[in-house]
Amino acid sequence: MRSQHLTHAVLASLLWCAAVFVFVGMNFMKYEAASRSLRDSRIETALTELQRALQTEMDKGVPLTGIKKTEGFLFHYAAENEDVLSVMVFDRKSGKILFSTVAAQAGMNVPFVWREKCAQPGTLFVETQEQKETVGLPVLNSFLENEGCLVAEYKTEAVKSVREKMISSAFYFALRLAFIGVAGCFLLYFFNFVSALVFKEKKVRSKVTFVFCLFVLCAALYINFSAMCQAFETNLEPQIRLKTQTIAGQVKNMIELAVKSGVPFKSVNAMEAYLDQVRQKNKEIMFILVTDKTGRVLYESGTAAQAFDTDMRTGKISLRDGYYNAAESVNDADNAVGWVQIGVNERFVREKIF
Amino acid sequence: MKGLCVKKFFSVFLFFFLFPFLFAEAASPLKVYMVLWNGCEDACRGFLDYLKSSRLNVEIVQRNLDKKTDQISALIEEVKETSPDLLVTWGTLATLEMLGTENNGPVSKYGAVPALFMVVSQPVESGLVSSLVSQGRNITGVMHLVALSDQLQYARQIIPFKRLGIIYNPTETNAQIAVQQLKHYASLMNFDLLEKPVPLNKKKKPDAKTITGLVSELAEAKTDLIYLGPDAFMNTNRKILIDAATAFSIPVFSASEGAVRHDNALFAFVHRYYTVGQMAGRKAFKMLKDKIQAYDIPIESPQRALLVVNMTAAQKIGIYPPLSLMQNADLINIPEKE
Repeated sequence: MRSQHLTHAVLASLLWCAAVFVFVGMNFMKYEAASRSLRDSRIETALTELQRALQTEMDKGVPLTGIKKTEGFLFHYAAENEDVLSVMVFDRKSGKILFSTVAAQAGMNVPFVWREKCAQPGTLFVETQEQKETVGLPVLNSFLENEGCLVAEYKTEAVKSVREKMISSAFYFALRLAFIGVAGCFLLYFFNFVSALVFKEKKVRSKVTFVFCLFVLCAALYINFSAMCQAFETNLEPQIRLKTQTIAGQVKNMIELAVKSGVPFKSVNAMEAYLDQVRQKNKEIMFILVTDKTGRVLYESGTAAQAFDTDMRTGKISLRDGYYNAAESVNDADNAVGWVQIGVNERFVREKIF
Repeated sequence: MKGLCVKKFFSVFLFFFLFPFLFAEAASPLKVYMVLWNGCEDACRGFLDYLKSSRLNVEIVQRNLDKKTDQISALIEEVKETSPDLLVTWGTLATLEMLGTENNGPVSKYGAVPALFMVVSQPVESGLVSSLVSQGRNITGVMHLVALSDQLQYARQIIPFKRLGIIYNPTETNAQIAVQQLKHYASLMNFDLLEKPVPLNKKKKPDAKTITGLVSELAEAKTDLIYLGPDAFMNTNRKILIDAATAFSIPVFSASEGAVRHDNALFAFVHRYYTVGQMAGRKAFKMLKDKIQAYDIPIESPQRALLVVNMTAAQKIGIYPPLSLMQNADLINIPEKE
């Protein structure tokens, strides 16, 4: 009879381990997908912004080869993104590089594959190599003919290191959870054995052992699951920060364009509709605030209240744990006129899981 | 040694045999005959740049009318004699003079020579072609005006107008067409059209002195926005219209860029001439290189319009375009900071 209980405990342990690995694996995949999606959408947002700027210049009647601002746009982009190796624009017909952040590349021809991949208007192409990833976006003229291609090369080290960290976190927590389960199964077996000596009635001892083990298991699972999510979120943090800063920079540029063109900062037309649009495209963003120099909110999209704590004694406002806030100053021609604040809930993947 | 001689002989033989074929294309470039209204401006440059970038072997002959039509018959004879591979015309007047209207005869006066026009505002309404998609002659082209429906839709994003005013020359065909189109869209887009034809003087000419009075009538009728259409008379006197409208804080939006750039109209949705020329170049490439017939290529305008906003006018009236439109706009006359 005792050996039968032991077999049950072993079987239960094995089943538990399998379930744990599936569960942790699924969570790892969700966090890994979130990390990739944060990076991809950051790259896409920034490249689309560059593409839009070039296309607007072309709509103004300047040929792609003659846009004087292009180099400025490319260098600004490369300076703001640490993982960028080079950014270039090539002519679709000849494949010749027209502008590049790497001076030596200008005038050279791009690989034929890039020309082929960039032939599809409106679609982003991605080519992954050992050390770098190439992302390209067609540049269309005002009659929607593909005139050139905007290409950026990115280092992949950071992506790989985030993935490796996530894999090791996943293994560590899978082993921890598996160990807890196995220990639970054997505890159950042990307490069943011990309680048989204390409580003579079979009914009582099975209930007590069951409730005790269930409690221990649930507590251990909750603590470990939270710790696992926390570890994954720590790995995600750099991607969240980079993406939020990119969006904050984009919103700031947009507002500065209006302000420098003579629109009064306090009466920008349809600002909130624009902020809502940005938030809809980037689901992880909780709120976007545009404030004046003193911090008074002028425009708001989303709710910021749940991200902040107010100290009742001092009235001081502080950001709660699990939230990230990126701030960019808005300047007119001479000085700062206000701030763009973007808040992200760093636990957005965990909230999706539940 | 003997083998080498045979090889040499065959090489020389092959070279001379293939010589005419190898250089046939280089020897006979395709001929493009261009009739320009006022020299080679932006649209013409766009056209030439496109052909240059496509590396097509073409010989371009440019004829400049210098804003006069007295050379037309000589040019028509020249085209008939030289029989180019493509005839290109610039502007409505030069195009109508060179190609005639479709009602005058479905057959081109140049036989098989295909024609391509650019910078023509209303090819159907002017009788050049019966339809933009299919027509009876071997003609295609590029229009430079943004479709009125698109202009109105964009304008609504800037000013959600209920009453749109227009002051126009009742004797001008283009202006009459614009008013007819506006009436059509007024019922579809649910706005009231307040039309004010400019009264004619004793010589049966529109009287520019009445424009200020007409603007004040529109102001009394609480007009939200005034449209300055493709109307030569009103465009000549646009400063009077815009100054009067600004005095009543009524914004003016224009079909052409000049009113925004030089005379403080608030905004316009336009296609730049360079782009129009490039699009014409693309159509020429299709005809010359791909041998597609002109009547198989639709007459169209570029798909993406450019919003041009006069920021000084915006500041005066206190109406600014929405932020999402500003990023793709050409913001001009930016006021200096006080």
